[in-house]
Amino acid sequence: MPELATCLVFTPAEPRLFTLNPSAWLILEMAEGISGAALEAAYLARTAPALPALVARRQFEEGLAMLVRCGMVTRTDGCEAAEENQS
Amino acid sequence: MTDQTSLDQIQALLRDADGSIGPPTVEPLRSVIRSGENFLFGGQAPGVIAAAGAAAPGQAVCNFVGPLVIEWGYAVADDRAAQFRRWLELHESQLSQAAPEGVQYRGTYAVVAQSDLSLGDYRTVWVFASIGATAAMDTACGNGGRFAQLVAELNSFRDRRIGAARSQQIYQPAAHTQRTG
Repeated sequence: MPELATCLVFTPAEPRLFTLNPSAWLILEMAEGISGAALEAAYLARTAPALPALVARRQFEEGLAMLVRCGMVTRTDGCEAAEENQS
Repeated sequence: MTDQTSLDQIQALLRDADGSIGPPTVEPLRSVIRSGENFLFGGQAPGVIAAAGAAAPGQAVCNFVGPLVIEWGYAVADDRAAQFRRWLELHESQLSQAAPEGVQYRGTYAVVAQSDLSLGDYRTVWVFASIGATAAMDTACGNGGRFAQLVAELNSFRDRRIGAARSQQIYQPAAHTQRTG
């Protein structure tokens, strides 16, 4: 829902609805089929120069952890690639 | 991965009103029912459908707030609270004077105590002389005049982040309101 600067996510495996702010939304949209390192680099690139790399890296780690915890992203292949689990 | 255009669009949403990029948030959806109440909107109260001059005797005795009252509830971020208070000190009288006919700005209140924290720490109260006056406010807010500018400034202090408290209540005198449920 760009008009509300919000992403609405349904997780069918454990039926729940979540709202994501644009920062979490960006991570989720870039997550499919990409390595963790590449995903982090992509987030840093999208948030620079407004966010210093250190801050962006911390935001990314917290954001990805939340997405994993809520079942929207699954780490595969030894944490090297992520997979989206959303509807 | 999502296409480049979509990512660009999300990237454009990253910055808050103050230009900063907030940390990611993932929150369970909180649904709020804003309709389907038990009362019919615009009932029998004198003046609700069209300005009727004098209030009903009971309302006059009780000094009713008005035939139609709309209350905005919202939060203001901690770091803007002092600025908001200062803005109110300087502009509330102007807001009152600039309101279109049939619309009264009745003040912005800080909620000293409440049982539901989702409604917001502040309330701005508007009184309308009739349902038609709500259209007058809509027109006045859209014409770019002084009233529109003041309302926009007032609303600019609202905390619009996801999860921030906000609410809206609409009241009309119960003595003249039909109940459907």
